[in-house]
Amino acid sequence: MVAEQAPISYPFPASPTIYHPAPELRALLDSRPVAPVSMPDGKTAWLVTRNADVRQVLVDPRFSRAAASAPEAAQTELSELVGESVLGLDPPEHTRIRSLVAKAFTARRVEQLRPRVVALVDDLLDKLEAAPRPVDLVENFSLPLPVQVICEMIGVPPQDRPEFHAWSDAMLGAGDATEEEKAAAMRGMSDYFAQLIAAKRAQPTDDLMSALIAARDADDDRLSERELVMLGIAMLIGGHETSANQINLCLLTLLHYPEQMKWLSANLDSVGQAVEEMMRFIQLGEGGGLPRIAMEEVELGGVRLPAGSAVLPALGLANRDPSVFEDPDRFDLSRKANQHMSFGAGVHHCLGAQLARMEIQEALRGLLRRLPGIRVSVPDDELRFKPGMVLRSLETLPVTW
Amino acid sequence: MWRVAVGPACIGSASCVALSPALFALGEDKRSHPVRAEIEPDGAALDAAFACPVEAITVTDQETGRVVSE
Ligand code: HEM
Ligand code: SF4
Repeated sequence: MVAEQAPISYPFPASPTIYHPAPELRALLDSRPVAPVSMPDGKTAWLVTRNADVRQVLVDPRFSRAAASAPEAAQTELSELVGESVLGLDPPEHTRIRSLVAKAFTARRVEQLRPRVVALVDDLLDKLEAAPRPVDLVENFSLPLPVQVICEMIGVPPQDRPEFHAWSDAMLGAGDATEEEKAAAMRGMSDYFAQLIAAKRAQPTDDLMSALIAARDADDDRLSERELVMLGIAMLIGGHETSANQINLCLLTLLHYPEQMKWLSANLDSVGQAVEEMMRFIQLGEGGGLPRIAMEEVELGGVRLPAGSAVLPALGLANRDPSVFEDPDRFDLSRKANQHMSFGAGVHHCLGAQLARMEIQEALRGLLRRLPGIRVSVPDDELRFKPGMVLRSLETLPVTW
Repeated sequence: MWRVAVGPACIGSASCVALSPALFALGEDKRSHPVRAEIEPDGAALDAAFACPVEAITVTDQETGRVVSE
């Protein structure tokens, strides 16, 4: 069929519901698991949707993030931002930098932070309970929690936090930020980190940034000053917008499926497993993950991709692959052995995955335990998502109970 | 010789596989398995162990019995 062969265009069609991927994209899983996409700059990229193929793109070293971050590569909104960070590097450069921070984010280290996160959740809920209703969950709970956690880990003083949140928003494209605005935010953030590093170099504190500075100063070849700045930015940005939105979308999804909400409230000890199903089910972005470039000819899902092809791994669609997940469009918190792709895979597998899991678990445990009657005080179609964002990002989430 | 083992904590993130494909492969069970349990000392094994998000990989020096991946 001719229509079948026509490339889909980027940006991808928006889904009519926040609970499922766009039907046009969902259909690709069956009809065209490796589908051509025409990019705004006229180039062609390939959208990959099946779980096994997406995994291959993320794990197979023939697919390069560094080549996809080169200026001449097909661009999505996030490319520029991540190009200079760990997400824009291939091994061995990637290994050199990531290994400096990996230890701080392992499951074991994150478990040690859990009591602190539980205390932060309680503290935020105390304030939330005292506030007049309806109250905005974004500003008063889901955003401050991960921001506080990552800032304490990195060592960003509390008074500086509002400032970089605005930068992070602009860099992720909120409000259709112009190129100049994005660049200005990037400069603001870089300058901020340069100052923070200077201050900590003069007076080291017990945090990740001070440890990284010490590693850099002990051995120039480990980490350049620029790389240190970019690493700080990557952790800061990676560390708050995604987790905050995931908390919001978890709550929305639970409220949309009241029988699942009831199950979770009665089974809070299973919150770990429940969060994995929420991670799988929720469509945080609209289709494509960060692009990769095939460094040589590769056969993927029956399609021969020539060397130089740009490939977009669709994490959210891979999470709905019926060959891996039984009845994939069913939201079922009792689902076991959940091999979802929401944190990616391979060398770029989310650095903060264990941290995000723990934050979301404790956030939901706290919300359901202390505010069991919580509900959103506006209908779904009045929810305001930040325009232009690559992540599905709520501006506000008014709740009452 | 070094002994390489992947423990039950493995979540199948495949970080080790992407980093050191000669040493690790994902099995049918979607978990990582060492390609060979015994290897010549190789920095790539340590890179993988340090990159694992759940610290599932242990590398032991068989002569001394010392865990070298800590
Ligand atoms: C629910 C919350 C989160 C989600 C859904 C998420 C998702 C992801 C995904 C899919 C990737 C891989 C992208 C790719 O390979 O194309 C990634 C990488 C990354 N994430 Fe997360 N993330 C979350 C939370 C966090 C947190 C809390 C941090 C804090 C440190 C963080 C820091 C990073 C960094 C630094 C990378 C780049 C890793 C590398 O290139 O080696 N993320 N994240
Ligand atoms: S890096 Fe760790 S968790 Fe990931 S596949 Fe390898 S052993 Fe398993």
